[in-house]
Amino acid sequence: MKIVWIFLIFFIGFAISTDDNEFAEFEDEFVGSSATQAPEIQREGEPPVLKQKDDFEEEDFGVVEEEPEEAEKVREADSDDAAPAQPLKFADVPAHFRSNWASYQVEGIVVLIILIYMTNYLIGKTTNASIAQTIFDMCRPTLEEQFAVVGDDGTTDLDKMIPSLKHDTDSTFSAWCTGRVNVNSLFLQMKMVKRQDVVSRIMEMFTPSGDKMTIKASLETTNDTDPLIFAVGEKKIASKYFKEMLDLNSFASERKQAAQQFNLPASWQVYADQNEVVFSILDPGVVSLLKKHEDAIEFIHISDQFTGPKPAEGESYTRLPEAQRYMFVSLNLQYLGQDEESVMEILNLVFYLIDKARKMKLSKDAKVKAERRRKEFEDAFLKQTHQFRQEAAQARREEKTRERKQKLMDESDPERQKRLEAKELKREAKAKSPKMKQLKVK
Amino acid sequence: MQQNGDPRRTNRIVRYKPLDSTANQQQAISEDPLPEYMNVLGMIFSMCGLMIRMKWCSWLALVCSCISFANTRTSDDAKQIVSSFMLSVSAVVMSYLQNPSPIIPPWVTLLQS
Repeated sequence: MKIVWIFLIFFIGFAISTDDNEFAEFEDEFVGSSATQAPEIQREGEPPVLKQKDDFEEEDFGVVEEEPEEAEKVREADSDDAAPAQPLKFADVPAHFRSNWASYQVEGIVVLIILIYMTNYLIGKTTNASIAQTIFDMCRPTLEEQFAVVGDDGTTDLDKMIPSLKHDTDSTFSAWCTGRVNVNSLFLQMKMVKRQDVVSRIMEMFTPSGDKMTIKASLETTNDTDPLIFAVGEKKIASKYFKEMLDLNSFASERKQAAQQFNLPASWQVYADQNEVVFSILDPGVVSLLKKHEDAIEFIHISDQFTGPKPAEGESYTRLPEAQRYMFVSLNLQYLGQDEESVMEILNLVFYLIDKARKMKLSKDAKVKAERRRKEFEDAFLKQTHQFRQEAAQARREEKTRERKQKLMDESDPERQKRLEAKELKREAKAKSPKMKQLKVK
Repeated sequence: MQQNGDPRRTNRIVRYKPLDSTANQQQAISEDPLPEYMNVLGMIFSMCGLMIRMKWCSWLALVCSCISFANTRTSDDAKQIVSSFMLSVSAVVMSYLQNPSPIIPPWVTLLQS
């Protein structure tokens, strides 16, 4: 059958080349047929003979029914080529891409989803940026009043610095402030709801979290600062941080009586390593501000033993990380952003607490107790990791011995090999000799 | 509440330093793993679309690329997003170049039966 198709192709070409003038009106039709003929042949080459016959018959009927006039014209004008002219109509009506757009329903829906997603991305991104900028503009006067540098990005020259927010993602913004007494640096970070992502928007409906602002301050460490671990905040958030943070979990405990004594909101909790710390930090002014901005303030954590989150279950530090003086404040932007006065009051409260932590003085008994507790914690940690460190040391010794013996065996020079062997024997003898010395002493 | 005098100290400035890239990446991923998941899913769907010629996989790959793009961090590498997008677009194009017929919607099948 392939030979027949090839023969037809040659015949079509011959017809076009010889009869151009006589059949000018049919030139487009011939070209179209020859263009569509090739892929069809490739396709029909594969199916069996029976199917080809069926296709041939069907198409033949279709031609007769659909275009009787054209068929008659072809016969009248070109009676000699009547037989080969028939197959020219076979592939005249392929299912073309442009003709049936209505069939692409699933594709249309997917494209619509993508367009909606991208539109939401632009709207959400703009909304997040504007909210963050508004909050930052409220904070900026107070920050500029307190810090020499606001909004440092780490690369710009200080004299060309312009206070500005740093965009970490489309929903996270931050500003680095530095150059103040008692503070090394203050990192202000806003984590907005991910409005630019439809998926996150949908998940937000089920588990609402809201916009949040965190302030992380690295406090100066000097010799005359007293030990201090203190945390206060809403019950859910405070208990979550209590479980997570190593310093709170190790040194502090909940102080219910103190919380009641200060008439703090019922949904709040106080954690501290000593009661005296609570009474020092929570003076009447601080308590009144905490009550006033109960909704906006979520959590406050001040510590001189901050080492970050607790290691995961089953893991432990091989060596205690260095503790640092640290302050952490978590605020709820949903209530914070209502008016500028609230923002300024809360920021001033933060700075007041920073200075308070620096100037706070404990009694001698409290200080001694705090130092003893830290010592106990350190000793317990060392005891816990003693076994581990011992095994590590043993492994290191064995590794060294193995390396020495390997070097001895790898040595190719006989003289050097003898020398190394003598040294090794001497070392082994030395390892045994202390026993004799001990016996002599006894 | 107010501090006496000016609390600012120009001689105690500590410049901002981005965290170590590895630690920063790990922290960012632990906080928000969605971009990584979407990136991997996009790659998988793209490969299915290109190799197995499943049209709906190609379209899903394109959607995953959009989601990954929307959650990009400034610390992330832009090449990753671009290559993910191009891979998914090429998967869609190749699927339809080979077979331009539309996906048969499930509701058409339901209506017929």
